[in-house]
Amino acid sequence: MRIAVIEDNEALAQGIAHRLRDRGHAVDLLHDGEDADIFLRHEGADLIVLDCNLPGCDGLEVLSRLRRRGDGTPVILLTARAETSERVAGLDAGADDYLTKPFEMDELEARLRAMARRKNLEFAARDAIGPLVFDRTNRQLLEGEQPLAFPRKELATLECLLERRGRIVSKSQLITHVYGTGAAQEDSAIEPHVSRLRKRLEPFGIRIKAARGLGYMLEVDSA
Amino acid sequence: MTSMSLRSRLFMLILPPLLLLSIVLGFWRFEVAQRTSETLFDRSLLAAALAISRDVAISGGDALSPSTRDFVSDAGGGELFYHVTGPGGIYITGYAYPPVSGGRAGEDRLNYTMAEYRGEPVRVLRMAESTTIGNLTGDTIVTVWQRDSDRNAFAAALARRAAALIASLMAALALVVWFGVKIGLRPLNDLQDAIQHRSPDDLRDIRRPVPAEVFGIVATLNRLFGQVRQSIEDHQVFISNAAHQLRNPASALLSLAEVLPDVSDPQERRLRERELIAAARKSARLANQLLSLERLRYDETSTFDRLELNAVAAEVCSDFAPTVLSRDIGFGFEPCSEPLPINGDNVLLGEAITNLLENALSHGGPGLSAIRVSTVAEAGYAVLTVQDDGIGIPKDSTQAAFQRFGQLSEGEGSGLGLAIVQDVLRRHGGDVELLPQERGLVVRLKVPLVSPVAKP
Repeated sequence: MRIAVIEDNEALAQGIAHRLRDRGHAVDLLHDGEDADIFLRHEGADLIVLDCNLPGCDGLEVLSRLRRRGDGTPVILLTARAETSERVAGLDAGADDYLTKPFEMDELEARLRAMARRKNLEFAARDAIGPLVFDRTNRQLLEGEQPLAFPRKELATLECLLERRGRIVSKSQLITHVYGTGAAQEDSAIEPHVSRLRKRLEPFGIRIKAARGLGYMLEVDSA
Repeated sequence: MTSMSLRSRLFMLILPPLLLLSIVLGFWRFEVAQRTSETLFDRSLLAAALAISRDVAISGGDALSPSTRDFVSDAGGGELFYHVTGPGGIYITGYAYPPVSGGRAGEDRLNYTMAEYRGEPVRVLRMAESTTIGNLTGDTIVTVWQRDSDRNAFAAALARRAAALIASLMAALALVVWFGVKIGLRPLNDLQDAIQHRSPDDLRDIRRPVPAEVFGIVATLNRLFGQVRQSIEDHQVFISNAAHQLRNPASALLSLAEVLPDVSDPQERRLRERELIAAARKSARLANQLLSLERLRYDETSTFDRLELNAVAAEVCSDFAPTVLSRDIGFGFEPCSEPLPINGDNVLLGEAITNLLENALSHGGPGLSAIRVSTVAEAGYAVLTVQDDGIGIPKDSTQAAFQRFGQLSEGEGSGLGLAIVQDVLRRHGGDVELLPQERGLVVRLKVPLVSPVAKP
């Protein structure tokens, strides 16, 4: 996937680029608003990470020019502080999501992944979770090249947790993902799936942690 | 817009009334002069008449003596005419045709009248005296008259002199006021100089003696200088503290990063990397906190929105829970079943709650096993409680915990957390309480509830 990172803080831009390149994406780094505008006009990108404050041409201006051209490429805005006005202006200008600095790389990646999924883009066909690999295309969990025989709903649960790895996923989000939007299920309906999935994943050093009243979080032992 | 200068003000205030008064005085003076000149001229007419009649008596009805003629022609600064008739109306001496006056009644011995002589108004004195000239006994009538215009000219001259006097007085007064005010206001100019000399580097009190009238201004200015001085000092203390605080994580980062290339053992390397990330995260967090504090202290522009505390807390908890869970510490959120509408700033409140969670996590000690956040409605307040089962703090040091950069124990954390929380809550009209427990610590945030009916 080709991702344009438009950010004038070069250290931060490098950090983002490293992370995304490690995940196998092609990253174009741009540090100036005008350059970014020209680049997007001619080259385009699959996903755009866009800083609000840019030299040359403001990030919001880059965004609105992009949208005026009828370019619907998903854009995540990076804002310096959680200023509500900037956030609203960004969303009005056509941003798909925003992230307040400083942020965690995991968070950015999760947001990009979610954004790509909403646009039916394949952010990563395969995702490594500890010793296992999740194959999105076929919705399979692989150990080596061998698919593990997990029930479908548990795989859907895992997919949802994986998308927001390192973040809390609420029960209602899981229900929506597993049963579809508007499903008439109680939040507690997801609990048995989660607890069975937790047991199955435990031997691989993959843990599902619960925060009471909030939801679940997928965590992979790094050791 | 500048108001009228003090000088013009005083000028306008003092001179016009005086001018008016002097005009009135002038008129009065003119009246007096008029009357004085009438009296004077009448007297000189009388003196002339008496002199003429005496002459007539002495000379036995002959012409006037030279001295009397001199006196008569010189009298009162105007030409004097006379006409004398002896007993029986015989013309004795003087001008041929005396003016015809209305009151020719011979009964009065002395009779002043106005009349016309050669087409000019004149003042006439007719004096009757019984005399005996030769063998004739009867009234000698002496008529003397003078032009009224002479008399008026004299009055006008008197009035002119008075007017000139008043005018010169007024002019002198105007000069005195104009320059006197300038001199009188000199202390104000001095004060202006004194204020002009003040700069952000020199905010000493103004100590020079000032007139009682501006004492209040100077006192107010000095108070303002004091406040600015204090504020600058506070800023400087804050900046030096902040720089000091930022230096620690920065040097920690540097030392961790510098040795990283030398670590070959992958296990050890991973450990170091994690430390590095933690240190970097901490310094980013610290910078953020300093910004929050700065914003709280010196930016009054943030606007309050209608918020729901459960929603605010849920978002913050969701964001923070992964940090807690990844350290194998339990985390729970128990929102109140009722909505808790409040007025507030989403970002600031979020910051306050995050600070409490960070405090619980970083100061809980090794015994910390769970953090619990809950919200309730209580006596008109939305109350958010953060409870942990860590080491807590001693009961007597709850005050010290709120001090900026005042850490209870050396360790991680900036020492800004609770100071920020307190500022945020004060701004929201709420409060923060530390309740040390048998085990761990309970922190309660109180924010006034607003009535849900008033929802926009």
